[in-house]
Amino acid sequence: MAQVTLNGNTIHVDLPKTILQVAEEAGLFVPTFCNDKRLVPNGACRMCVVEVEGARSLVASCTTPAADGMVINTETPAVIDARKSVLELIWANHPNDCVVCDKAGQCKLQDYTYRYEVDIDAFKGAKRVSEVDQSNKFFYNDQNKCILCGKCVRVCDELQNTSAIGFSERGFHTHITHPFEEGMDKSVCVSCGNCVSVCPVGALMPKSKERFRNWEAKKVQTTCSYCGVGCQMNLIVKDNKVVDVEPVNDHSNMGLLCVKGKFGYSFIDHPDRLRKPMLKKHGVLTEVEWDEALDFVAGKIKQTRDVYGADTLAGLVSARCTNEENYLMQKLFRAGVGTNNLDHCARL
Amino acid sequence: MKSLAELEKVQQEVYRRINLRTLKGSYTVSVAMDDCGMAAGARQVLLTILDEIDQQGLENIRVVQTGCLGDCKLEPVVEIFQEGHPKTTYIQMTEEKARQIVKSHLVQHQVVEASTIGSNKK
Amino acid sequence: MSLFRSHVLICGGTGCTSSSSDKIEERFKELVAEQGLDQEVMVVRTGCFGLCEEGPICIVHPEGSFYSRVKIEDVDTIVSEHLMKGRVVTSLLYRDKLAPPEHQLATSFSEVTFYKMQHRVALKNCGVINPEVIEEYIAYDGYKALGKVLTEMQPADVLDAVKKSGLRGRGGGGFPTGIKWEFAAKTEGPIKYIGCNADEGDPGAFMDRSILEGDPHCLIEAMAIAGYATGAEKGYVYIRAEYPIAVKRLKIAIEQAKEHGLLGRNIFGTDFSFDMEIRLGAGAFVCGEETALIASIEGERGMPRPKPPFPAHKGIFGKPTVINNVETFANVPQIILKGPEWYASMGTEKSKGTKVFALGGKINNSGLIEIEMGTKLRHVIEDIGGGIPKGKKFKAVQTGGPSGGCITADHLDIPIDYDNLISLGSMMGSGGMIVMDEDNCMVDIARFFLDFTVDESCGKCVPCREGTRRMLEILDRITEGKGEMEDIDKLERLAKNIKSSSLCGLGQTAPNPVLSTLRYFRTEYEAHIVGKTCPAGVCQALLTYVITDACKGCTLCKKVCPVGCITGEVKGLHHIDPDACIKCGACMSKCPFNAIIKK
Repeated sequence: MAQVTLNGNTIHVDLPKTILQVAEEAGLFVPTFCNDKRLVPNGACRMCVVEVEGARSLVASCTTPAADGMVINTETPAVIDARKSVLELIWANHPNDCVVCDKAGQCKLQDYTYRYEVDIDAFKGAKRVSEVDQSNKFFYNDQNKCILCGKCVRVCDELQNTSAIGFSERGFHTHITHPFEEGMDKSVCVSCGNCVSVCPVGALMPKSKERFRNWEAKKVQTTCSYCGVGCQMNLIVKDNKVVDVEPVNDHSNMGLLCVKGKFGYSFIDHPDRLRKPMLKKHGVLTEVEWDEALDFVAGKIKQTRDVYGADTLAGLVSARCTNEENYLMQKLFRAGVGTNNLDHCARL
Repeated sequence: MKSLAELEKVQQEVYRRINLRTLKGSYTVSVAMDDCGMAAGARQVLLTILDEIDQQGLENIRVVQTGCLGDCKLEPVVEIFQEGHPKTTYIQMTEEKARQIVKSHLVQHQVVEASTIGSNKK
Repeated sequence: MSLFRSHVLICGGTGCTSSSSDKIEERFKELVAEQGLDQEVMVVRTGCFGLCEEGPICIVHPEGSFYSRVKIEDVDTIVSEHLMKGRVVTSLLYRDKLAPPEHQLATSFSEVTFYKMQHRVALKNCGVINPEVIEEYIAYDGYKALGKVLTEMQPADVLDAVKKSGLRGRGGGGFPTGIKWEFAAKTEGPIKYIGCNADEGDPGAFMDRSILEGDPHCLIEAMAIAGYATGAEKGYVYIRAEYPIAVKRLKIAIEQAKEHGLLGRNIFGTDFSFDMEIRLGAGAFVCGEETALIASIEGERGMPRPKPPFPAHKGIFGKPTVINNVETFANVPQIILKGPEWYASMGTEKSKGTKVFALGGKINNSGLIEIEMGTKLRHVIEDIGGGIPKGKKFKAVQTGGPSGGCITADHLDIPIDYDNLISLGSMMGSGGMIVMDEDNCMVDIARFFLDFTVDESCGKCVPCREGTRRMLEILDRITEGKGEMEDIDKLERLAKNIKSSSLCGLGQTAPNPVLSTLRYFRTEYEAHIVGKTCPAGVCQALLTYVITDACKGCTLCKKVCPVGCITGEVKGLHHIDPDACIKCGACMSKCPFNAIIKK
């Protein structure tokens, strides 16, 4: 048990922890762009700087370990000015288009700028100008808005293990790109969208068909229905339509999704999606009620079994169903129909 | 190199060959060369002195060359300098005399009076 | 090697090589062979003598005749006159202007004032031995320290000696070397590394280059000693690719050391083994920062990493690593042989030993010098450096390169050491000293250094990547006459924040040249902003070219002007139209009467 003084209050902490962890657990607010609990701390954005008594300069709380007896202050004038400076500098290289930006309302840059009352026109000088990379079907990369926090690169390296995206050039010309600047579609990118989920600003954004403001939508947590992992996700719903998906940080998926979970939601409201069972009547597919449909299916199964034998039937289940549903299905076929012919999409 | 002793052996051998680059020298032997000296055989005297020094295993001797000292009929001339002592000037040097002077003056610290310029003033 | 009567030492450092010292060496060898002297005269290529202003340099031993600014044609003369006839060629000797008039001909190398005022420890062998012959290094006590350490000392004794000596990192950080080695020694192994930082990115710095080109074995020996003291069996030398001669000499040295069993398994018959590998840099100043250097060796993008963990605990490939600068290592063998007390007897209380400095800029004796810590700056500039050329007035000296600051005439009497320089707003850095005179504009100097830092920033953190660029933009505007008074406040605030919140040393020290010049030369900044003039006459945009009364009306300027902005009749006073003038300076260089001035 160690003792640390945080903004004048002495508290006890269990080490090893970083100053950021200690501060957050104590309920204090510390701004961060590049920090993520799942990633190795990077210390790139310098927003989380705090004052530690006796240190040579301000320290990044995300990478500095807390020590017994440390005296920490998270909101001194020097700290605030340093953070304001970081924000002013980011704005000097960022388009001033919050009004039309899709990230508005869920953008950390916007939030911190408001909180620290930053003058976004403090520096007028050269700006990086790049073309938006639209080569991926599901999301785009607008480097004009990138603040180079590096989270996208680290997620792809450390968690996704694909390493499709990285830093290129140095200094003022640094930007995020794919090997040899050949664009997303020519890289090993698997379109999992985890970089999109982790981007704090509007640089990596999904290509939504609907335009919406984040305050017009609500979040509904659910389990992804595509496979057996059971990733937790929030469906972003506007006017009863799913317009976006974001991962939830849970045991099963650690805040990661795959391309299906992240971008494969358009089937929900697709015009071609069947909303009622259909039966062919007089050669024409006609909508019927569930009772009629199920009676028909049960009848046909029994008929086939009686005439041709139980083993002429097989049950195919999938990861789209829950474990419980798959259990019932195989019970139905083994005990009800009388055959062991069962298979699953995962094996195929 | 398997041992420190081997290293020391190489060190001593090579140092003898190249130490003239840094040597201050307890003695400086200056051989006058130039056209007159060379004509009288100063180069051979120089090489003989070097050889005798090597054979005697002497260290700390600087052997330098200079240009004409003026008294050309006394060539080859060799001067020996030692700090705190007046210089000794040997004249009409031969290879034999050179070896004798090395053994006497540099090893036994005894001037060979008979070969000096002083004894020439008759 | 038989007993040669004369050794001709020719400087083979990069500076003299670029002035064809390699061809001079060839010519010497040719002529010596032709005259049948090749058993009597040894022609040797050595490392940097340090007096680079006077290169190419040749020294004939044992006389110590110091021939300077040697041309290929001169070789014939030296061979026929000096080597054959013993007649020193006085017309080619270096003129020691620091000596009294009767003793100005440099007939004896050890008497040359430039060298008498120095104390060469790290540079001990540079200019003395042939760096490509290991036996010559051995002759001057080479590898004796390693032998002593392996046969007579325990690792703890070595750590003790280095700590007692007071040796501090010579790369700029000034961290006590013995303590750094001890951290690594105390961290659990079994794999540890010794790293050498030979990236030397500071513009104008070539201390490490000279040591590597002139005495590469001292680095090998020191790294092996460090390996023994800390428990490491492998060393990496990270050397910038822009030093091809140094790389070549180091490669040869490593091979020769291996051949002689002084590197590799069971050195000196003990159970200590040490191996070394060279890794080339790829043109990034930031890779001189130790964590970026480690990243580069690991094959990653050269970006610094947060500290802690420190390299001594977790370094190359995550193993405990000691990273030291070349010059730091170069002092180690002598500390072992002569004892730490000898080393600690030199220097000041907190800065022991000697330091190599690279003198550049407006100074008569530009080149490399090594002096005891605590030497007064004035002595370095006026005495050893020979003062400012053309009788100009000293203005400031920049120490520490792009991370340092300038020191003015008021502080020339400070003893040079780590803490004194920091208290003046500068730093020791790796040892670069750029001298400036009345014709240098301090705002332009700050802009020059910032331009370098902006280009070299790795891009990882916001304050450095974006902040230095914005500082440069402000300085650009000031030097173009578009500055405003609030720009100074902006610069100061930005500098303060960049310094306090950057991730690594590059960002943390990048604002120093600006802060330092603002501290001592604020009036110059104000002249640029308010008066729209450049007092030193450097910033082109603020200068006007004017034709004075000395004009004789020869019309040469009018003919050479590319934009036709000069009017005037033959034999009449000519006039430049300031609005049309593009300030190319062609007229000024053409005028035979010096009638055109800039103001």
